[in-house]
Amino acid sequence: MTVRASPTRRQVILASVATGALLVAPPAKAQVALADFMALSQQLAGPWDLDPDIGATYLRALTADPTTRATLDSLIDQGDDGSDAIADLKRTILKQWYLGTYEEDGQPAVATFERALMWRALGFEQPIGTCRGLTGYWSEPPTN
Amino acid sequence: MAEPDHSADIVIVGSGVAGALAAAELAERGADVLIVEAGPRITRDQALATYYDNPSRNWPSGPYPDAPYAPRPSYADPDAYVIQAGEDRFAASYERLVGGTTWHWEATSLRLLPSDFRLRSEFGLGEDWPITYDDLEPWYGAAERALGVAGDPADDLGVTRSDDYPMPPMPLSYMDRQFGTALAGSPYVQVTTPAARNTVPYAGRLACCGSNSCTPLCPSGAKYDALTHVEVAERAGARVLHDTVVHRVAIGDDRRVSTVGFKRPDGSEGTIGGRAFVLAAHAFETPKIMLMSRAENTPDGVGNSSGLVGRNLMDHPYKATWAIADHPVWPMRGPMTITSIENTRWGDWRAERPAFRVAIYNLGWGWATGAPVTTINGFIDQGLEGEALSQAIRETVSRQVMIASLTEQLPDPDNRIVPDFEQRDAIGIPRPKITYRFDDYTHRGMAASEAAHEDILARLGTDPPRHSNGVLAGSHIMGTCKMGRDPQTAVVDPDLRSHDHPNLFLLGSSVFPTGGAANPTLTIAALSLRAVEPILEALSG
Repeated sequence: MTVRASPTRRQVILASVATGALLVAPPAKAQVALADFMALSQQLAGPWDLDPDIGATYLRALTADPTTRATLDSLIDQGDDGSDAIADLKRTILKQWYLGTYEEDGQPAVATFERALMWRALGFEQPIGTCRGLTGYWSEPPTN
Repeated sequence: MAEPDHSADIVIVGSGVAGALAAAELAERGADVLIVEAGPRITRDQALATYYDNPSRNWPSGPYPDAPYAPRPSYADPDAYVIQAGEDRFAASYERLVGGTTWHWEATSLRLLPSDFRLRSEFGLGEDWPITYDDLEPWYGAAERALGVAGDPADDLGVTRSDDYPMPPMPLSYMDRQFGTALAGSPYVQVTTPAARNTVPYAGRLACCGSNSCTPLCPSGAKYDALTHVEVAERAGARVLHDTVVHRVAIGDDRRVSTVGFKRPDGSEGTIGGRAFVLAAHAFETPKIMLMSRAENTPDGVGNSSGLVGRNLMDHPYKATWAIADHPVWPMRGPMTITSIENTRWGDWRAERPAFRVAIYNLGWGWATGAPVTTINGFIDQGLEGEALSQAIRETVSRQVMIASLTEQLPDPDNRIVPDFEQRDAIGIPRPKITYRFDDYTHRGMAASEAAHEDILARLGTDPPRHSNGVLAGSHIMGTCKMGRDPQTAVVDPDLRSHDHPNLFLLGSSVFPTGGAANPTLTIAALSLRAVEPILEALSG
């Protein structure tokens, strides 16, 4: 299901100002809906439950760059056209979810430590660096 | 002379395990103790928050603050502090904050072998220590109780023990048991590595909850760190000054230390008076402080009549090997290493090549390749998505194995650290300049450990293993203020007292004449406890 909220004029202006893209923003639409981004993410990430609050952070980081935002629009609206730009974007989105990190102003940042998908894919209930069970739990392979 | 800004009967510079353990024991025996630390003081919660919020989680220093006034070797910018002036790079790292490098240590708590103290006599190499294993044995026991060491008394570690470990051994991981089956009857005897990680609640700290992050940071405090003894010392009345960078030792007309000089983070200067002084600032900063302390009555620095301060810098040259096992071993559950091969530390061949010990790591490929992050990025870059991606990650990482060896390095007076008076840090203190070279003995150790790794992994059953390039740093900084009986050929005497200044003591691995192949911390701790009595005696001197 795709639900696209229609942004108020004020939201559009604020989003544009925040990205510094008021004058160069593509005319099609000013925001990518979180629901669309989550649906795309789910399709890429497969079996895992994805948290929209974390997704909102990734989406904000991606759409801060006008070119990436245009590619994301295209991927959501027209699907995968097989281009390198789309392939790169899909890889970026997957790395965000798996590692819990994203880029902001060219610098790496953390969206979530404990809810990064890598821990789940490795069969861990809890990530490394946290208490993960009673002493000796590690003597048998994981059951999940 | 102006009144010092601070004073105490005993001034201890450095709050790592060497300084903190001595401070706790001295304070509990009623002495007036002041601990002085160059770096900041943080809580475990602060370190954890920094670790979780740090996107690179760079290993092993990621959780710790970068204090511009107390710089340290950084993997992010290796040349920002240390100046490399030799044929080979000295790449060891350490921390500068209250609690020192035990914040990020692995907790391996081995004793040196009797033959490690007699390398010259038994193999014609390096030096003999001025003390024997038997001299240190009771102090090893005391150190094991102080740190809280878990070990298996049935394991052969090449030493005799006069008392039991204070805690039962760590339960083996599933992966360790796979190695155990593979190595049964082989020349490689797998043992449970003695480690200062609680296997039961001990000394007010929890039992290990298997966070798999001893390095860079134990989230629960089940792993010993020196903050434990900083706090014991404080409860017994000791004071702690942090953000206080000692850079100078002043000697009076009586040849005794009168004060130490320090800088604050803003660059302003102060002094600390006392009756006995201890430098426990690790094997980098301790000799640097001594060599920076040039004055009219100490033209070559303090305690340096032998000319040996800063010389014989050693590490444990390191080789890592990793592979994909034929079957899942499920790494990354439990402490980061639980078992090891120790019987490669002893044998007649030591005249020809170094002793080494092989740690079986429980980290997947871990720091060797940056896994699991690099593994995951690799699959994503290959175009995997959805269920196929998560399956590939699980199937690969569950079979990642990595083992690594520490090897013995011989003391070489040309391997040295000096302060570079031309190149200074943010508050104007000379940066360390290192001249360093690996000899053929080290290169033979790399070859021998690589061959052993191949053999061990072949017995487990893996794809063709990959080895680290060249010589890695074990980051066990040793030597630089050698212990010995002769003032002409040693910096401190067997009580760790400066041969030149009767109220100056040096604690830590700087005093090691040789380094063996065992991780140095338990020996550092044993020597600190042994030095307590001589330090107290110096108060009345």
